[in-house]
Amino acid sequence: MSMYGFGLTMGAVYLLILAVAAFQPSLAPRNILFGISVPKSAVDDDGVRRLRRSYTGQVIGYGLAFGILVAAGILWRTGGSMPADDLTQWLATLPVGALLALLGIAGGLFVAFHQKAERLKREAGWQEERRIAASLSIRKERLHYPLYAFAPHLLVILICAGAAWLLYDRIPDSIITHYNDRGIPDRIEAKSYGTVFQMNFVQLFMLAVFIFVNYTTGAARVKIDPADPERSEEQQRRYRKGMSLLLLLLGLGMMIFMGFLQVFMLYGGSRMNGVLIGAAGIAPLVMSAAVVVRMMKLGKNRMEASRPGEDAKWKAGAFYWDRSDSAIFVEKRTGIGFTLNWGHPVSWVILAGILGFALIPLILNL
Amino acid sequence: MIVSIDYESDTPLYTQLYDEIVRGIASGRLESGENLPSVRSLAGDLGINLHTVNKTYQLLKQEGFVHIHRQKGAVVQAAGSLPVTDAFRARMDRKLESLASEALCRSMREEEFLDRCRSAYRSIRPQAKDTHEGGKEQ
Repeated sequence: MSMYGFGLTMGAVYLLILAVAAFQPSLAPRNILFGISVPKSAVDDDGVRRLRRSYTGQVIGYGLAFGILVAAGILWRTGGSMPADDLTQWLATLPVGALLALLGIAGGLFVAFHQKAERLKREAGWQEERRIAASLSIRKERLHYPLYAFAPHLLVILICAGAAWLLYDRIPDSIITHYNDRGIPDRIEAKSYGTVFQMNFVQLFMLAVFIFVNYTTGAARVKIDPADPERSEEQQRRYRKGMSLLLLLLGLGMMIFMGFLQVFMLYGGSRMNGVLIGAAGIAPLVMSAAVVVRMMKLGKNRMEASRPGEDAKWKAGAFYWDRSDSAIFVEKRTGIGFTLNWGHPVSWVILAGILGFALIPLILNL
Repeated sequence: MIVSIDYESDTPLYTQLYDEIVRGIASGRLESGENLPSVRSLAGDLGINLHTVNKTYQLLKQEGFVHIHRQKGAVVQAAGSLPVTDAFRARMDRKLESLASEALCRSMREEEFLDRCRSAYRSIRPQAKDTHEGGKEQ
């Protein structure tokens, strides 16, 4: 890949993350302003709108300025051509560092605006809700799709692994297992069951993650607004079932995409094949992206039924901490989906489990 | 059915939850044989401690409003199936006396006091009126 292509790819990723960070306020529930609950009557107040606009403007402003600075720095150091050996390491880590720095900038701005929202709430004298409500019947319904809805996903994995098994003799003796961030093969391994079925293990791991996230969609706390219980019950039902369905589709798209990756890795040796497989692989990727957009639409305009004193339990507006709350999974305040109650010991067990699950392959590789 | 409790009230949370569920049973919104959510999931949905909900369920069981089933959990008992016990009469008298005392201090007329008692009784289940003779103990 040329310097031009490399810069374009990194730039696109940078801009995508920048866009997500800048429009974060519109992914949060409509009555949550940087982790602070706002009365329903005030969600469209000038002060609230101004804060949202100002945050988006600043993230874009600082993010773009920083990105341009880094790009200019790289151009200046290299003169626009791909540098030789010793500089490449440095160049490869720089964009990743820039992405992390961008996340740092967005996070810092979020915390600053969280404090501004707190002040706005105090000055406006907005009161928190005194009552809490819960539905005794909603737990009898299915709020997420059952485990067997993942049967198609498993089928995709079986087909991928089965095809590799049947065509095992036709797979070349050396397999490219890793490309560097400029698209140049940098690790080639001898054919073995481990390398041929590597992608299927990745698929299984991702399937486990999707099954877990789908479970949390159903298990997470159902908050009901005491002022309008029927409507908020209905909103919860729609949001969760929709979320669960979209998760299923996203999972399927990712499974198929991984399948194409495997096909590319095993049979993409000749240039023509590689191009064809690559082109076909774009379809599931586009489908997955469309599903993510649908998720954002589904989450838009939802309202959170805030609890008395809940603002104080959202540390920095984003991390829920309440020791006396027996819920483990709670709805996010900063975006779409669910998060953990860090005041609950089980949450840390779950985190350790996920980390362990993700790290085992890395440790075994060493 | 929706239960709602006041977080800042002087009445303890478990008592409020108890009252809400008993009201649900009396009004027929919670039907006989229906099961209540598990202690864990209701506590999670309300965002309160497990022990609070557990206390409510124990109290409901003790008073006979629910039956704790090994698999199904807390199952609602039929609204008319409970007898009027002396313990209940004593508790009711105590509550009424304190209300009557305050009403007297505020010079509320006896008719209004009785009217309010009646309308409270009827508001829970409008068609019920005075038909629950079967539930009386004697």
